[in-house]
Amino acid sequence: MRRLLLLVLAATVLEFAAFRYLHRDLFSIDAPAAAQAPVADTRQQAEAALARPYLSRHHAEALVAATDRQGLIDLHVAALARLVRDNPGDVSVMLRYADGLRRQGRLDEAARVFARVAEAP
Amino acid sequence: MDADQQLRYLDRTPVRLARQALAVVALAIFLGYLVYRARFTLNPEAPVFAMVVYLAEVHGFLSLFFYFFQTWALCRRECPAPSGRFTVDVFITTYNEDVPLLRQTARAAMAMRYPHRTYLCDDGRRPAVEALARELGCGYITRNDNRHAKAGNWNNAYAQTSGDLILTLDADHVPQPQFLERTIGYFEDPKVALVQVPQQYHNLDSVQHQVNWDERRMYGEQDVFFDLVMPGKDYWNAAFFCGTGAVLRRTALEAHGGIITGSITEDMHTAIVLHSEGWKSVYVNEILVTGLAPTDVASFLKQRLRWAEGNLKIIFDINPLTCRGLTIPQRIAYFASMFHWTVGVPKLVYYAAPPWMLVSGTFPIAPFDSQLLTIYLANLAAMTLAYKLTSRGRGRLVMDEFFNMLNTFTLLQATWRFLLQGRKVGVFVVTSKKGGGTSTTAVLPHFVMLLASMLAINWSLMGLGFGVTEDRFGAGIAIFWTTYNMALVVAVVRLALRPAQKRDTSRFRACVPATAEWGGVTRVGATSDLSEGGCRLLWPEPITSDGPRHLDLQLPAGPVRVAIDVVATHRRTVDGWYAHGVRFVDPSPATCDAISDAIFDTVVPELLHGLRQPPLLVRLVRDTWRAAHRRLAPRASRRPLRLPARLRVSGAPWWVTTRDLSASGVSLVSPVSLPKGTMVSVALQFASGSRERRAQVIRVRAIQSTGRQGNAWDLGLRFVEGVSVTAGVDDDARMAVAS
Repeated sequence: MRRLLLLVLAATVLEFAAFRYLHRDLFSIDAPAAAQAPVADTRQQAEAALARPYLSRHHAEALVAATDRQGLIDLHVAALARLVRDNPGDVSVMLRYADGLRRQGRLDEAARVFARVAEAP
Repeated sequence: MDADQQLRYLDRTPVRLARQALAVVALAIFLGYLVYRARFTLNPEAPVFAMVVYLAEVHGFLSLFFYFFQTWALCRRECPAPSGRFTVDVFITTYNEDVPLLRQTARAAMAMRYPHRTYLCDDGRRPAVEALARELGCGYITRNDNRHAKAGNWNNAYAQTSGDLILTLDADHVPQPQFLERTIGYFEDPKVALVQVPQQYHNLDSVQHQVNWDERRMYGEQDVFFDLVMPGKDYWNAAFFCGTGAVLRRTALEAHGGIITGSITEDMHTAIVLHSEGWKSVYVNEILVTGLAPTDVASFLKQRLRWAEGNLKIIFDINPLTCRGLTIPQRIAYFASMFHWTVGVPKLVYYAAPPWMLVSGTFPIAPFDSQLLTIYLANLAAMTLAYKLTSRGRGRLVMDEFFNMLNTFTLLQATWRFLLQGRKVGVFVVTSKKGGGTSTTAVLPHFVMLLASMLAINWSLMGLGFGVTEDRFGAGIAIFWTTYNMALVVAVVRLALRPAQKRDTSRFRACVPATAEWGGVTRVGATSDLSEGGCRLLWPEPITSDGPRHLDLQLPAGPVRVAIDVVATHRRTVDGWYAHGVRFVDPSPATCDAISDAIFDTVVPELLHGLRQPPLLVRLVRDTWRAAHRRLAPRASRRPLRLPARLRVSGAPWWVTTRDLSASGVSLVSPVSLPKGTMVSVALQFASGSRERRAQVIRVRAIQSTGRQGNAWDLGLRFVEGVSVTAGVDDDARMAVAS
């Protein structure tokens, strides 16, 4: 029985390690130390995170914040676009997306998004 | 005579039609569900996964169709009396079974009524078996090799004998005395080639039994097959030879030189060939023989592997779908029997799908909306209801699922061998008749599955916890099914790891009065279980080293004295008795025979009779009626209680045992029948002493009417004195609890 419990414990630890490895992009973006991470690393993790078929609101927001901090404006806008796609009725997200587009210099697109915000009920 | 004239529907016409209608409705709903699933809910994002799960559901539909087809019209037979013109040989095939076990079977076979000749067909070439045959006066047949295993052994005996009919018995299958009388008559129909009876088992502590002793209910894994499927096959003239407990006509086998060899399920193979040649089979659904079921999971799974592999591989030798001479219902019935053994594949899909959903986050069904849920629940309800109502109390879904879980990996192995090895014949492994040990290695796949399921749940919870996924609904459903499957796996593992059976012989729950002279006083106790090697003895006081060294077991045929060795003293029971583990010291063969006869003539029939559960509807109606009746005419509450008692009408008393007791009456098992209304004197032997009361016989029912040692009767007595005899029991119980 003790051997069995040890086996279960070892399997659980290994599983957690595997889980962390497979989701390392989300863990690294979400970590407090992400602000000090090299820009290249952040870019890599952000691209991996954006390639996921599913990204929770929490992780998307963390991604937006991390890319903003590191000045990765293209990924920042892509993260905001992802947020807009996943939360189509959220006006505040659309506003932030429009602002991101403006900062990136994509003024026409930004104007269109601002217009959509203005027309939103 | 035409054997088909003896066929009678088990149900009255309205009930039968209602059951058939229910089956059709359930199948129609299932079909509708499958069509809906195929059109609207196969997840296009996971096409392979969706298709695999869908095909598993289609397999379920086919299984249900085959089940309802086979149980379409359940029949029983009216037994024709044998004319006496047939000569009968009885073959007991043996290879490595213990001689005492063989002795039981051979003695019971020889004691069968109807003239016959018994042969021990020994493939082990053992001098001890030859000596046993000589001692008992039966024939002994052996050979120099073991070619074709059991079938070869049987055919060797077939070639050396000449009886018109041959009863085949496995070494552990003990026949009842009336076996031949109840089966031979069917052969008056010249087209009948074989008569098969159900395989029932007397070791109820086996892997495949679950007994609720308090409620007197028993589940047997093979009950559905032998109580429903085989009577249903009988209607289609497709009941087949099951290897033991069958009588075969010699002339039907002559063209083949006996049983057809070349497969490991030669019995079914032979039956298909006989049916294709136009012979008839008969199934007699009476318990006329009982055997030993595997007591450990490893032996159980080995046996199932052999059956599954053999049944699947038959298709290489004789395909029932294309074989000439079979009727369409026979083809379907045989194919259904083979198809049944492929159930491991869909079951694995069902067991693996929920953990896979948890790990991958993909689902086979999309969208899972309220419409699908409604159709799914309607289908589930219709299936469950139809199965419960058509299975006449035999089918129990949770237990069926438990055995599916136990068998899955073995059936997968059989399917794998069927697909990869093709025709190659597997090795015939004799099922172990002894108590085995724990079966850890046999359930290793279950351990792996348990661990994988647990890790899958962990994975999903971590995903939800760390925000990797937010699909709580999907995860919840998958976790529910994974947990359900894990519960089944835990039950399987617990069964496999249960303590090893240490005894050489099976113990039977038998209350046999036991007396002993000790210190000039005759004391009375009783066994609560019994075998040829020992018993659990209930005695009014603890047996110390200077206690009795002999017991007189008051068996129905008369007392038998045995020397005893008390090997364990257990705590006091709530009824005030002291329980002792007792070993019989060097019992003589005559003593063993007397105990064995008592067990197989009285105890086993009473056990199996008492544990038969009526169908669900009957139970509901009966319980409602009883509840209403009790409200109108209150009756003293009854308590199941096994006590020794002495019954006297006039003259010498005889020993009986109680079944249950109330303040107003007692139910007894007696070797002697009495007419209703007879006034008797009954002395109940409590732990605290004897209490004698006058009583009147109000119920007489035969438990089994054809034992070698006479009959066993269930007698209902009503006390005629208004004094509560249960007072003593309750006093003892209180004392025991207080101590």
